[in-house]
Amino acid sequence: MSPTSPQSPLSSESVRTPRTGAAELIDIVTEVPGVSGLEPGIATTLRALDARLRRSDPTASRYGLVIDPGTGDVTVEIAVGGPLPVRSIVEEVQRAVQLAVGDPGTGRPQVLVRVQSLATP
Amino acid sequence: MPYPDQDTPDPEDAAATARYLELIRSVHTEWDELESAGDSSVQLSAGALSTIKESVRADARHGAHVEMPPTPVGPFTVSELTLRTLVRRTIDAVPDARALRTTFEYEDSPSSGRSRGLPTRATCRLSARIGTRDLPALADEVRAAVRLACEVDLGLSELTVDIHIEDLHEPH
Amino acid sequence: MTPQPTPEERALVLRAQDGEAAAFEQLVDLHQGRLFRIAFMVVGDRLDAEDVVQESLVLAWRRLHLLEDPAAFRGWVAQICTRSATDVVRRLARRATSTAADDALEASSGDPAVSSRVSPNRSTAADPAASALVNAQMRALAGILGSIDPALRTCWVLREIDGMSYREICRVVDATEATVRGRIARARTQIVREMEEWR
Repeated sequence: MSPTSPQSPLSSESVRTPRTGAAELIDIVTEVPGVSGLEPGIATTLRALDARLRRSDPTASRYGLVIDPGTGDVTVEIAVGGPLPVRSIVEEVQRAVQLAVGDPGTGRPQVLVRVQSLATP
Repeated sequence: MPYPDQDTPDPEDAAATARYLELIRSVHTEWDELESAGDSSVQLSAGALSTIKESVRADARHGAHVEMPPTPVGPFTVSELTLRTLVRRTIDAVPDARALRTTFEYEDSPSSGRSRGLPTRATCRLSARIGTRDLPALADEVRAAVRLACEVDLGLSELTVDIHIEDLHEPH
Repeated sequence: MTPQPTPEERALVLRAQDGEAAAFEQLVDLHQGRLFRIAFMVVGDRLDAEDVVQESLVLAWRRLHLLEDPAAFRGWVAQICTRSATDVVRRLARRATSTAADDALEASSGDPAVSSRVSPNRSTAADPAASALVNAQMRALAGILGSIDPALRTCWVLREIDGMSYREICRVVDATEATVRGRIARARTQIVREMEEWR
C-alpha cells in the first residue's frame, strides 16, 4: 500500500493526494516568522466548500489553505505583522510550503500567498 | 405559502390529487413549525451561518486583492487593506506627517472578478504638523518613504507617488 | 404568488452593493431559510444543502455588483443556489454510475479488499433514512424527489416549495414556459404515482 493511501478515501484519487495535508501545511505556514496567523478570505472559503461538495480529498482543503487536487498548487491566506518586509515573509512561506510538499528545485507546486492584513508593529 | 395551481393537467384520480395536495400542505406546515421551533434538521446550522457572515465581513474589510510582482519563488497578492495599512504606517512614521487617505490606480487585472492588477500610482492625502516650515520638503520625504516601503515590502519599483498635503494638525 | 421585495429589501441590496456587509448579512437572514429548503429538496441531504447555501450566499456577495436590478435579488440568489444544487446532484449521479461500474469490474476481478470499499459519499435523496429529517412525510417526499430527474425536480421545487411564478422559474432554469410547465406536470405525475405505490 502506498504511503498516501490512508489519507484518501478514494482509491482512484490517491495518486494525486499530497503527502502533506492542509492541516500540516497550516502549521508550517504559521511557524514562519512574521506570519501572525491564517486569515481565511473568500477565495479559500469558496474553494473549501466546493471541494467538500465535490467529495475531494478531505485533507486537502481548510478555510485559509487549499491544495488544488489536480495540480497540487497551494493557495494560502495569511495575516502578517512585525518588522520583516512583507515580501520576505511571503517568500519564506512559499519556500517552507514547497519544501514540505514539493520537489526541490522544480519550483512546484506553485504557492500563491494572499496577504489579507498587515498588523502595524 | 403557495400551493399547486389547478391550471396544469391534474392526475386522473381525484383522491390521489387530494393526497398530493395534502402532502405539499403538510410539508410546508411541518417545515414552518420545525423551523420556528429551531429544529436543526430543517435549517442552516449556526456554524454555517457564521461562516457566511464572517466571510462577507472579512471580504468587505479586506477589499479586493491586488497583484504584486512575484517573489523568486512564486506569486502573491495583497488585499487593498494591506496596501493601505502599509502606506499609512509609512507616512505616520515620517516626522510631522499624518496619513489621511490614499487611493491607488492599477493596471488592468488579467484575472476576472474583483482582483486588481499591479498598482501604478498612489495618491496620498496627508496632514502636516502645525509649524512645519518646509512643506515641499515634507512632501518629498513622504514620497521617498512610501516609494521605499513599496519597493522593499512589495517589490513595486515603478510606483508613482503623488502627495497632497491638505490639512494641518496639532503636535501630539 | 411570489412575494414582492419590500422597499426595505431593495434598500438592503443597494447598500450591500455599496459594500455594506451588515446589509448583506440582513439579506442572508432573510433568504437563508428558503434557500435551504430549495437546496435540501433538490440535493436531498442536509449537509450538502448546508454547503450549497453557504457557497451560494458567499458567491452572491462576490457577484453582487453584477446584479443590475436590486428588486431581482430574490430570483437571482435562488438561481445561484439552484444551479449549485443541481450540479451536486448530477455529479453524485455520475459518481454513483462510475462507482457502480468500477465495483462491477472489481467484483469480477475478485479483489475482496477493493470490492468491499465503502463509498465516502454522503447520503443522497434516494437515501431518505439518512437525511435526519424528523417528519415521516418530509422523509417520504425527499425519497420520491430523489428518484425524479434533477431538471424536473428543480422546477417542481421552485414552484411547490419556493412558490415562484412560472415566469421566474423560466429565468432561473433558463427554459421556456412550456418546458417549465411540462417539467412540473411530469414531476407531479411521478410524485402522485409513487405516493400511490407507497400506500
